[in-house]
Parts: sequence; structure tokens; C-alpha cells
Amino acid sequence: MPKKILLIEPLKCKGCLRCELICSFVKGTIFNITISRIRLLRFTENEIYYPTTCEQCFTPPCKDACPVEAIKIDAETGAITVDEELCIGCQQCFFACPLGRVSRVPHSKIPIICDLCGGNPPCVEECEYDAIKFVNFDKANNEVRKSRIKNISKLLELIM
Amino acid sequence: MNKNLAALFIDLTSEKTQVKKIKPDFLKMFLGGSGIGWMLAAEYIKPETHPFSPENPIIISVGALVGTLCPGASKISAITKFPTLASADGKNFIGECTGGTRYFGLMLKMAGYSHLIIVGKASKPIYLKIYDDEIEFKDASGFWGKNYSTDYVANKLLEDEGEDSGVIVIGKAGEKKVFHALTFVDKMSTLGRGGLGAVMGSKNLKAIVVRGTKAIKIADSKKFIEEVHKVRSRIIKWPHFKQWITRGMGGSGWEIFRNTQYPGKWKKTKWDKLYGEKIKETFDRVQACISCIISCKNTWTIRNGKFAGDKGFSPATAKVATSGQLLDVEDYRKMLHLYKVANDEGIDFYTTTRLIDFVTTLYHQGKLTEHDTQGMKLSRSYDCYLDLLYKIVNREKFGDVLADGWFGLYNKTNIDPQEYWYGGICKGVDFIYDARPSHFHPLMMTFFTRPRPHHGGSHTLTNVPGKSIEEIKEQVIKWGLDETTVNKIFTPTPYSGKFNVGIYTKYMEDMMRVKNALGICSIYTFMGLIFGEDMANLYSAATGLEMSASDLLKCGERIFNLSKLLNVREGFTREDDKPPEIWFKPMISPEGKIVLKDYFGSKIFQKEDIERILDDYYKERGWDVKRGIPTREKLVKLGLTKIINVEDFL
Repeated sequence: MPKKILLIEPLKCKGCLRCELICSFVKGTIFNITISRIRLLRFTENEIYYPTTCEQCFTPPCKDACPVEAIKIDAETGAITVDEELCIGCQQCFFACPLGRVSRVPHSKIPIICDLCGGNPPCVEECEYDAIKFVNFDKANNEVRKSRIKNISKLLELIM
Repeated sequence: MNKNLAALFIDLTSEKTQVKKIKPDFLKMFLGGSGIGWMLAAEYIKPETHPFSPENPIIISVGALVGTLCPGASKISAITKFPTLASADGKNFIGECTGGTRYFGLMLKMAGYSHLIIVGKASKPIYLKIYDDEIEFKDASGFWGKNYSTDYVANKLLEDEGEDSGVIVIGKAGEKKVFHALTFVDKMSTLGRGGLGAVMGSKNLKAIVVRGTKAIKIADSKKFIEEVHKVRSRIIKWPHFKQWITRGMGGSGWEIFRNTQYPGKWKKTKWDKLYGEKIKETFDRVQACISCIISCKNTWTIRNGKFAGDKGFSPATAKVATSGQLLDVEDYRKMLHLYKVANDEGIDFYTTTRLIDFVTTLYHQGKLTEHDTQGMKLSRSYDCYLDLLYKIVNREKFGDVLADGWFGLYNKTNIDPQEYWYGGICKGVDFIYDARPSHFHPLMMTFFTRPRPHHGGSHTLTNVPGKSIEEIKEQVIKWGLDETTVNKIFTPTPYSGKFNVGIYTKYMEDMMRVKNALGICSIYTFMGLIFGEDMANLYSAATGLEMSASDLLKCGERIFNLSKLLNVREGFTREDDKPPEIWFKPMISPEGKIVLKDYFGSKIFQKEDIERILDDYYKERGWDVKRGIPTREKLVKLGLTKIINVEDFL
């Protein structure tokens, strides 16, 4: 169980892509948003951006779906990790995630899932608009409820 | 970074493409982005090419630092020969337009290209799809000649080709080759005052969609990220930071706009009430370009009235309010609607509304007759303005004359564009600011000294009224100028006032070329958030080439000289770098007469003063002062003779 999780408030997102850029930079010392663990969903008609990343489930369907046990839970942070050595690239995790938060990368068989960067995710600091927060798990309950209601109702109004 | 240095050459006629590697050696001379773009322009733009001929290339460059975390690095630029008539005898300037992007710059680089060179003409309407190494020429006849807005077409293309694609589209004005048709980038920026949209239209090119999957590499990633965070931590301490990221420039900038863009027809208090206050009600959300942490743009919606539900992008305050006052339209919603229609149709709102202001007034005064307007009855009414806008877009009746711009009007009616009362006109382009209410500072000067008379990013602290000489000097020093130069700029003269605008402008134009080559937004530099040394450190870390702030400026000067050289070949001289006549007549406003003064308002400028300032400008450039063009010696000194045969240009 993760101690802290990423909490995203999409309405605060201005679409600058800095979270995607820093993620690729930290993970690969390159800038390439296709390998970012956090991805912006773009609703083009109203130019609404919804940053999405792994929600760190208790019993992750991606982990259950992995036939070679390449998906593990980090003992330290409680975050989901992918063992690239073990991964056979079957993509079952990609289809298993009910939220669509596992990413496939062009030219690579390894799926990518946010591992919370060892408990210090730089995307949080990189977001100048406070759209990404890293909150204690026990505190997250109410924060999540509130932000979901606020964001979803407003988003529906904007997108629909 | 150097791995992403390649130009994709596309011939629309033969549908052949070729990747041309650019030697990293050229970075030392031209930095990258539009700097290299100008080098390509010298190779690909041939003399006496008509802007609408298939041979006229469109060269799109992505700034060297775009696609990285460098704050404000989001700009692309396009170089082409623009269709705007720069003189009555039909000269055309070769210019560079630049604008912020969200996906286009990033995705072009991720597809593996720093530059795009588009030549030829497609046999039928198409759009270009670039996905890494795959280039497709796709049918766009479903969009062409239809009543679809630029926004609609962009949305459709994003839906079909992937929502994280970069997209440039033209509207109907571009299809109809209206000389002041623009392009729209990533649904958030305009690109190409002077007619880039028409050049695309002449090529049957409706849109460019680009996506990529490749990495953007950094030479020294540790040093680079340190520099990024150093700059960022300074920017977030900027006193206006919170206000900007919550309200954008549109929501925060009225105080600056009302003082600099005042057309002087209404009292300022009336203007505040009708526009300054009212436009705030339309604010929706702030929008950022890629990597931007101060986000000046915003989206807006008209909340009520006949045009309720109209939506748009970009800080509309200044444009809509200024044109609203010129056209005497008191309802801001009507002007916002006009602005939306201009964007939907892909036409320059500034030029169009000013042309409309000009002709409807002249008609009202009897100086333009029904014979001139091909039977159209013009009036100073909103309905007439809207009708004229559509007529221009569709090139119908009198609209066809206005679609050829200020000199198009002159050639048909003999009415001199210099008689227009607001802003001023040079090389066939109307200025977005009038130097009388704004005061004369480097941005005003660069409107008529640079080849394409639009700012192109040459802002300095003097854009903001009321700064002290110490503040202005401090910013100039931080741009990496040596002490002798700084002293030269700030030595008062009887003809220029407390600082020498001519010398100042030379260096600010060179700095503009640096910013455009790196892709850094001018708002960061003119607000004093990023300086020469920051840019040098970021650039050095990204490319592995050690560069100082003064090295960058030297490159900027080289790029500027090259851009001028291409225009010298087209016949441009000092004769064309003329301050507008209207600036030397007082603006009659409800606040009294407003005359042309220096930045501090302490000295009134006569024409002779400006001519002397211009002398100083050319002298500082090391050019032929009489002709206003580069000398051979200067070009040798800048090393340009090593890459081109300068005799072909001079």
C-alpha cells in the first residue's frame, strides 16, 4: 500500500507539458513525452487537459494480469514497478488496467507505469499551476472525494 | 540536441521528400532555429521569385531549445517571401514570423526535424501529415472552399491524426490568397502577419499535421537541468507571477494596453468602462504554450447577448479594444464576434479592421465613391464592417481590392496608405502600436527597420511605460553588452533624449534574432525574467557548444545581417525604412493633442531627429548609412562571405 499518492486536479492544468517533459527526463535523461509516466488527455474542442497517471491500486489488476510476475510492489514506497528484465512484452497489463493508465511506448515492448520516483516525484514540483499534488495516503481520502466531485462536474459541463 | 538537426525538404508538386542533414558547425554561426532557417532561406529563396510561385519556399524552424524544459522555449518561426505589397511598385519582403506553440514545435523535433522546407504546389488541396519518417500528402478537398472555421478543421485533423499532434491550418482567407491571411497554430497562436496563410493557400496546402516519437537529447543534462531550475526559481519570485498564471496577459495587461494602444477617439475612462472592464467577464481559462510557466494566453466566451456562446483563444483585450474604438463600436461583444470571425476565416484582425476603418471613413467623407467601391454602399456601422470582412475573405467586389492590402487599395484608388490616422504603415504593413501614445522606443523603431514590419519579438523593458533609466540600463547590461556599448546607448543626445534609441534598437534586434533562434518567448525577456547569460548557459548545456552572452549577440547580428541581405537583393534600401508620416502629426484625442515624444516624454521628435537616430542605427550596424544596407566589410567581418557569395545580394 503506497504511503503517498499523486493527486491531480485537472482544472488547474494549463497544458504546458512540463510534467511529461520532466518525467521523460528523469526516466531517460532525454526529452520525449511518449515515455512519460504521466500523460495529458487533451479534449481538443474546449482545450481541456486532464493529466493522467497510475492511481496505485491496492490490488492492481495489471499485477494480476502479468503472467511472469514482472509487475511488483515496491517495499519502500508501495508503488507499482515493472521489472524490465522479466517483462516479455505481452501487453496484458495494458489491457487489464480499468483506468487506461498503463502506457505503451513506440519502439519498445516494455509498458510504462508510474513508480512514484522512489517517493519523490519531480512532476509535482515542476507543475507551476499546482495541478499535481503528492499527498499522504490517509489524507487522500477526502481530498480525492472533494476534488473528484469538483473536477468531474465542471469537466462534464465543459466537455459535454 | 545536435541529433535533432535536420531539414525535411518537401516538394508538393512531385510529392518527393528528402531529409537534409545540417552540419552542426553551422550552429556556431547561426545558433539553430530561425538562425539556421535564414541560412536555408539564402539557399532556397531565389531572386525575383513571386510569393505565390511554387518555387517560393516556406521554411519552418523550431527554436533550438524548444521541446526541453527551458521556461518559455516554445516558438517556431516561418520564413518566406510574403505577398503583402511593400510598395506601390509591388516589392515583397522576405521575412520571418514567429509564434508560440504547444505541440507543433515539440512534435516536429520529436519527428526528427528541426526545419521544414516546403516548395512546389499540390495538384489539388491537400494537407501534409508527418509522422516520424512517414510523410503523407492527404486529400483536403473535404475542407477546401467550405464554410468551416479554422478551429473546426484543426479539431477534425486532431481527431483523425492524434490529439497530441501539432497542427497549422489556414482558413478561407488563405485559400483565397488574401494578402493578409494568417495561419493558426495548435489552436492557440497566430503565425504569419504579411500573408503566410496566403502562401500556404497558393500551394494548395490546407494544413500541416505533425507527430513524432523520437527523443530530444541534451549534451550536458545535469548542467542543463540545473540552469533550468535556477531560472525557474527566479521567475516564480516575480511579483506579477501569481496574477499572470491565474489571469494571463489578457486579464492582467489592461493598464499597459490602455496607455500604449490608445487610438485617441474616446476618453480613456469611457474605454475602460466599455472594454477594459467588460472583456474581463469573457475570461475562461489560462492557456500555456509548451514549457511555459507564466502562461499569457487565455480562452474566452461571450456570456450573453446576440453572440452568446462565441468562443476564442489568445488575450483579446488589446486587439479588440483598440479596433473597437477605431470603428466606434461600443458593444465589446460585437467586436469579439468580429474577432472570432476573423480567426475562423484565417485573416489578420489588425490589418482587416484598420482597412475597414480607413475605407468606411473615407466613404463617409466622400473621398471614396461608389465607383471605387464597385457599387458597394459603405457606412460606419457594424453590419457594414462584418459584411466587408466577409467580402475581403471571399475576394468579392470591393473586398477583392482590400484583400490586396494597403497598396492594393492605392493601386486601384490612388489613396495613399500614409494617410491612415492610427498606428502608421511601413512596407505595406500597419503597425500594431502607434508611437505617439506609446512613445518612441526600440520596438517602435524596429517596426520600420526590420525587413517585415511587425515586432517579431523585439520587446524591451521600454514597452512598459514609466520605467526609470536605471531599470532600463540594468536590463540592457544583463543582455551581455560591453560597457562601452552600454555607455554609448545611454549617452544623451539633443536629437534622441536620455538614451539613443538608434543604437539601442540595433542591439535589441540582434537579441530578438537570438531569442527566435533559441525559440524563447519575448515576454520572458522583456519582463526581465531571462537574460543573456541565462540563454548562453542553457544553450551551451543543451548543445555542448560553449557560448557566452556576447557570443550569442554576435550570432544574432550575423542572422540579422543575413535577413537584411536577402531583402537588399529584392531592392529594399533606406528609402523603405521610413517612419510613418502620421507620427509627425499630432493625434487629436479627448485628452488633448498627443505628439511623438521620447520614452520619458521629455522631448518632442521632429522628422529630422528620427533621421539622425536612423543614421546612428546604421552607423552602429556598420552599414552604408546613406543606403541603409550592409557593407561588404561588415559581411566579411561577420563571416558571411564564407557561406554565401555576397556579391549576388548587394
